[in-house]
Amino acid sequence: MKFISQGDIVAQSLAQYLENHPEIAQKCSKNGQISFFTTDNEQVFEQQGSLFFGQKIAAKHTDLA
Amino acid sequence: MAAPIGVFDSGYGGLTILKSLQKQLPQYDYIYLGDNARAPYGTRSFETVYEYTLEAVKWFFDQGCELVILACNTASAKALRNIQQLDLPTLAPNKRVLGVIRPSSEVLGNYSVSKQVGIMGTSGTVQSESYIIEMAKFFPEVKVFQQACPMWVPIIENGEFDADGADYFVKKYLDQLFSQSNQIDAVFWPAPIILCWRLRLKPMRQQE
Repeated sequence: MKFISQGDIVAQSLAQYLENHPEIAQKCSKNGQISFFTTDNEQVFEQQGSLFFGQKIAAKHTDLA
Repeated sequence: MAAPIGVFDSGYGGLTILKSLQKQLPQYDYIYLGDNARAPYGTRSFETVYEYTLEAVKWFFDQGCELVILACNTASAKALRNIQQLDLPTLAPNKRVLGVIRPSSEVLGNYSVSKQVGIMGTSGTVQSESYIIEMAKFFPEVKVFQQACPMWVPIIENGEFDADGADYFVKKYLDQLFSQSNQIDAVFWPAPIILCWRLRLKPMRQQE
């Protein structure tokens, strides 16, 4: 039985996409930085999100619409 | 001017995809947005998911993002096509919005020898039949069995994955999937559910 992780598949696909579309890749900044936003409470997001991301994160609140 | 890659999910599950992106493509910058205030999307209508997802895409464009990944199976199933075909041409023809169902469907069939694959996801993803439709394009010989797991995301997103009830629902949905066919030899777990497997199923198996 094989259990397949979606994250790895998507990451490999995006790597291939950026290789095939250099015009898009060059529009994407490359400093190795990640920022996190949530439409809900940022403290709750930081607490729960760190479980999913696997490391401590700092989030900001934002509103949509 | 170059800008981060946008990564969107209705909740937390997309963070596991972002983690994989960071590992595979560490040189890029990313902005993650979770629409947690309106999560989960899984049980919402096509119209509502489309409306919410389009708002998120516009938010990313306001941040300057040129490329947005919908790291959400429900948004990919219910909103991506409309956004790509109806909105992008007028909204931002040079920007790109990509989903997670197509790239997953392109390779899933390769993992199965029996040509029987199980898909576990939210009710919305299962009802959309997006995986059945997409996989038929790439692997017409593969039979796809779906299992909705409506309790998994609430369990995880409410921090209840350590509760006894989590074991019950992991086993329940796996049993329901395999009751459809005992020949399934590859099971695909969308992003939030993989965490459940890591935290609960693996220890359970080690005890057996």
